[in-house]
Amino acid sequence: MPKTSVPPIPEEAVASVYAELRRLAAFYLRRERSGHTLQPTALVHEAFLRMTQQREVEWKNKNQFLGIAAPLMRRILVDYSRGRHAAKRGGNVKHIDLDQAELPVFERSANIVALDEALVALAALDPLQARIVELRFFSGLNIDQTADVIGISASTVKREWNIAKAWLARELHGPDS
Amino acid sequence: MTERWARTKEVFTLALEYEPAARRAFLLEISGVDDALRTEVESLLRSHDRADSFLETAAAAPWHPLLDVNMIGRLVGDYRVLREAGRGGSSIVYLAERADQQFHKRVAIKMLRFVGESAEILQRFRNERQTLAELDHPNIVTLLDGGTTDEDLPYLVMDFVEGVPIDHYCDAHLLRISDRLQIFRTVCDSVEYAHGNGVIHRDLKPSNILVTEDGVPQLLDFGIAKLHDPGRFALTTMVTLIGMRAMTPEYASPEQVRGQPVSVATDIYSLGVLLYVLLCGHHPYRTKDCSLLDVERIVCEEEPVRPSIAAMRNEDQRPRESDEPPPLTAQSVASARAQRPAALSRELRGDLDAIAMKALSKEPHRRYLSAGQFSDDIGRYLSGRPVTARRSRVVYRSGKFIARHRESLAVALIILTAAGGVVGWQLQRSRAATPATDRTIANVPLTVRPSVAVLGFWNLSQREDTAWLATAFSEMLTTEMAAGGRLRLLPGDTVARAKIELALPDVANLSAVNLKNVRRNLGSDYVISGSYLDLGAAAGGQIRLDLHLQDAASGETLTSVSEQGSEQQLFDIVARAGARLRERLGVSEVLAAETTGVQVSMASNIEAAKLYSEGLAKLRGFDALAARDLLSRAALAEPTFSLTHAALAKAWLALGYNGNARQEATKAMDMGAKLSRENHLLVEAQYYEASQDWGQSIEAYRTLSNFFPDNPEYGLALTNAQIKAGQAKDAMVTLQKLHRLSRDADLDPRIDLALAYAASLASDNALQASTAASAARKARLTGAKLLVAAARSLQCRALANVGDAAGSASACEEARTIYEAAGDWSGAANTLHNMAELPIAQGDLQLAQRLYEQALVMAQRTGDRRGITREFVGLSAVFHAQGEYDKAERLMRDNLGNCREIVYTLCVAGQESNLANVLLEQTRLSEALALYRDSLAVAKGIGSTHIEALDLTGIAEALVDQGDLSGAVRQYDQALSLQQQIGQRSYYALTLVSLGRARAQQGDTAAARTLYAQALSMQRQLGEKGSLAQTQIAEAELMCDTGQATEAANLARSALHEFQIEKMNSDEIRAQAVLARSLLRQGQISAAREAINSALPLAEHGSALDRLRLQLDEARMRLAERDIPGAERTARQALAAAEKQGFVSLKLDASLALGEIEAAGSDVADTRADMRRLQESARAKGFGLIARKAAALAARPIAASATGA
Repeated sequence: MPKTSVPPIPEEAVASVYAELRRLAAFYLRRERSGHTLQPTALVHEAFLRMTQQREVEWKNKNQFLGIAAPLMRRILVDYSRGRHAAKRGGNVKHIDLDQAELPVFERSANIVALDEALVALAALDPLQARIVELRFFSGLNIDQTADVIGISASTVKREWNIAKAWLARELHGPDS
Repeated sequence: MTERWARTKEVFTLALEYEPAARRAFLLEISGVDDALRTEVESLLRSHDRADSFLETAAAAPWHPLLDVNMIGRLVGDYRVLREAGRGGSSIVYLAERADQQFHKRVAIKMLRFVGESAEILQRFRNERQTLAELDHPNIVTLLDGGTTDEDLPYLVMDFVEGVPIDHYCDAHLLRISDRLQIFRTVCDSVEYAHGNGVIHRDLKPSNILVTEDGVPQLLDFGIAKLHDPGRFALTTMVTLIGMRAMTPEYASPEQVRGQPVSVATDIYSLGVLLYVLLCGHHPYRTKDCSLLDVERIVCEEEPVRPSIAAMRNEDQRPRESDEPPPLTAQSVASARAQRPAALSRELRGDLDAIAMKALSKEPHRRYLSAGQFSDDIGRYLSGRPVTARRSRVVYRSGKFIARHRESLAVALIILTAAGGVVGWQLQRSRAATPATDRTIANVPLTVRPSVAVLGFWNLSQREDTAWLATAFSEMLTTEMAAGGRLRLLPGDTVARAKIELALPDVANLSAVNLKNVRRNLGSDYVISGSYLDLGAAAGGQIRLDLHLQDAASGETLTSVSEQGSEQQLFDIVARAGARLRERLGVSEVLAAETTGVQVSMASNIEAAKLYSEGLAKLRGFDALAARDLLSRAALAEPTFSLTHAALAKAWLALGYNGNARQEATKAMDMGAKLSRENHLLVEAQYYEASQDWGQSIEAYRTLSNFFPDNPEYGLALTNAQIKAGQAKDAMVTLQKLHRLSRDADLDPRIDLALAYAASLASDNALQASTAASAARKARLTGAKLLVAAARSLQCRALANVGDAAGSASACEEARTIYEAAGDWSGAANTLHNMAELPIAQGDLQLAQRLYEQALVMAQRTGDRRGITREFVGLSAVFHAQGEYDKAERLMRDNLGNCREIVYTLCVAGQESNLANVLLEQTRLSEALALYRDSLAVAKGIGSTHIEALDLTGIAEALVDQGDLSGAVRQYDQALSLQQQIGQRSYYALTLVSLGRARAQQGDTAAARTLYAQALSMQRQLGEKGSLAQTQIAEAELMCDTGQATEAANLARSALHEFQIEKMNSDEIRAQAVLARSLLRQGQISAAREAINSALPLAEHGSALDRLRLQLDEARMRLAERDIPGAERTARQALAAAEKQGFVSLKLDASLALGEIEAAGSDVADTRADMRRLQESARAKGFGLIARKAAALAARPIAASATGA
């Protein structure tokens, strides 16, 4: 297993990052219209700025932060997307409510949730690739930064990234769509 | 990582090193690769090629500036760089010429500014080269060449365009509008060409559209253009790129600003902005000095002012930076267009306004569909033909009306009425006495009349018992001022609402600030206010009235008037004062019998007058209960005064007593002989509303609005009536007209609000959300807080429906705060009720309960009986969902009684249906069936298709349980067709599953499978995980019986997980049961036992149905555990219970279970006989599945295995 190039992060720090990300996500997501994807990397960067400005935690470097933030951001977005789409109680509980319009019906598929599930599948196949994608997509790390956070060479990252992309694209959109 | 995967990766990486064409060969040659691997790699390679920028995020990388590379004088390709011509965000453009000086051709060389890990930038650059290479058009800059320098810096060589941005060009040449339009059309045509080649520009703005000296426009900078061929870049729509907001805010479309995918419509929008600028010189939005967040809000929500109006504006003369252009004035704008300001505005008004605004629509689908269409419409304008932009300005989806909205809207609109004074009591004296049956209106004003608002009177004596005079004087003076029909008086209700909203004091003279607010809110030209004083017994009990007439715009007091008289002479006082004011305004029509006119506005009996005035004040202050009491007494004191009855009717309506309201409205009509035609019509209209005769009320309001088109109150009342009648389309048309005729249409929030209501009728959530947002914004500007609340409430509902939880919550929160502050408990209750919707969807039942309880408290405060019953419907439904069956049933029955009592039909239908649901789950089949049937009849009667469909499915379920499968199938089919009709995809999918279950019972496995598959696909599309899991359980149940036990177990587990997340109790039980069943099939007895055991505690809090079903599963479990006596006992209990309730389907299953149990024992012959009998009876009832199983048992030899059939 690749070793991390920075010492482990204390639990409280992770918790506060999570809290900050959630706050920001809630703020931005509040302004979203349906079917709109959030810009996760922008969010993460903004969180980093805020947290360093507020001196909440001393981060060894930005990469370390971004490395922590990626899975947290992922969780937040997936939770949110899931929550949005849990429209119905289902089956026997077909209550009629008098003042509402139709029960919420969502016309679009949950892209983030689909990606999340595809990543879970990829992780079963190739954990390193899944981690790379997670870092790059949710925290916006480039090749070098990713390599730094994971502790492997940039060329490895590039190679694995290409394969992962191809695999995920196929997984999400079908072999010949 | 598996070997195989590692090898796949290896081969893939190697293959990538070859050109696509050569890869195939490579793969065939490489050793140690079997066909499967090769296919896999090829598939991945294909995916790789297509997924060019899939998932690419960028710009976290810092920019590495180009180190000191001075390009001036250098050779780039065949060209020599002369000088820098300009620089943009990511690139620099140089002027260069051919090195060999053969042609003296001047070119532009575009290079990237920086080099870095910026895949996206490079990609864009590559795009530009690619896109330009494919485009060949006289108005699009030609790409000549491209390549990379020695330092590997890519560059593009293009024609050098010497020109000025199009807006400067037009201004510099003082081009008239028609000339500007011609140039614009050329631009459109070139954009159309680009679109035709699959290229969207994405950054159209003047600096990208240069015009040469010869007047030829050239499109530049396709640098951020993207091919819109879906096959190539579809994958990129998943990701938005950070920091790469490479667009100019002023020209960016709402979708761009939000980072959504762009389309042809995006370019249309930018063209729209350009046209706007060319037409009137201003930008549609002011985004200077705004943060990106503000820009986003402005672009996405703010409505631009029409060009014809903007052209008349003068920008403020603040000090400017040296490089900024001077502020625009109406004069400068017009001069640049070789026109005079007024003429310019006239020229722009109408068609050109419409064309520009259409292109600037927030929703892409409302804009022109192509640049060609855009150009054509302008062409039509230029040749004097009608333009398409002016047809249906408001587009909406099919006006499919869902009947059940009527009732809730009716209540909501009453709130609106009480708050917004949509219909007021405008009193007017008719010119000549005309008989009551004559329906013509004597005075028909043809022009827009000056408007007057009587704001109120300050009670100088401060005595409680003379407070009523304030209302009385206002009402009377309003009538008096309206005499002659030359002035438009704002109705008392409207003024009262405004006073609440603006917190206006009843002072003698209004301050400038307050005046300004009044003008913005009410829009009246003049205001009258004053004071009165009881001079006391010493002065002979005289009352003095002082009035001021102010010009609302300038604040100037035009005149002050003072009159006095005794309490008996109130009419005279007002008549004289009013006459003098009218004289000052130049509209005096002095006729002899003036006092009779005023007298219709007030009761002649002092006591009655006092009670009436006080009652009116309470009604306007949202206290319908107190109003009712006071007005009832006033009616007793003077039964012949028509207006008391009219007001009382309103009070009854607000309390939900339609019958009483109708009675009072009838009385008002009967005694309204002395009322003017106008008021007679108003009273009539209200009578019809109270009788729910929408058709007639529409007629009445239509007549009124036709005769008084300058009075928006009538137009709005007409709209409301149309909405209540479900005529969404007609309502829209009325609103359109209103918009055009009303002077301050752009500022009047009530039109947008009415639009939002109409949209909710048509279930157009997007339109509802946007019009409600617009209404809220406008209402905020005019200080009309209650309208803000109404708008936000609507917005909240629409946002909840599209999944914007946070947006919905904040909208409702604001609405509630406003309502509470204003004392409008009805509105507050409504809002709280709306807020509960979201937590229910999210499974937070406790929160929903709290909200309903709060709403109930509010409703009880208002005394609104309909509101109260509505809250109980919601609350009882929550109890049901929480598993409190008895509590829910009690409350529902109670409430049903209430609904019947107040003849709230919709409530009756809905509550019966909900109650039937509860009873069904408690296995009280016949009771449930009866209720469903009754609800169905009621729902049909009021045209509520939604409830009708739900009742049909309820009946079907009950029929299945009672053993009438074919009957059930028929009902399901009917329900499906209804649900399809009204577009309820979610419920449709659920019904498919129920039907599937019924088919499975009939033994038609194939049909069931198809139905489940259909439902699954829909639910996936809708993203409904809970429902999807339910379908999976149905599938799993099927699989247990078709020998696919392992798959069944997997499905059950996955569904189980979902139910646990969403806290779906009943379904969890069912999932465990199916899991257990499938495990038993696989012989995993202890695991199955575990599953059953997990379900048992849940069943304790579940329904009787849950427990009954589980009992049977328990019996089978015991059988597997070889506890034969235990199994038999349990099965017999289940059988008995099913028998008792007439639960045929369960009875059959229990009999089957007993058969299985017996077969494990020793009584083989008996078993066989029993099973044959069961087979017969099951088949007779159509239960093919059970029949089959029974037959199998009958045919089996002795000692059946414990794992069942």
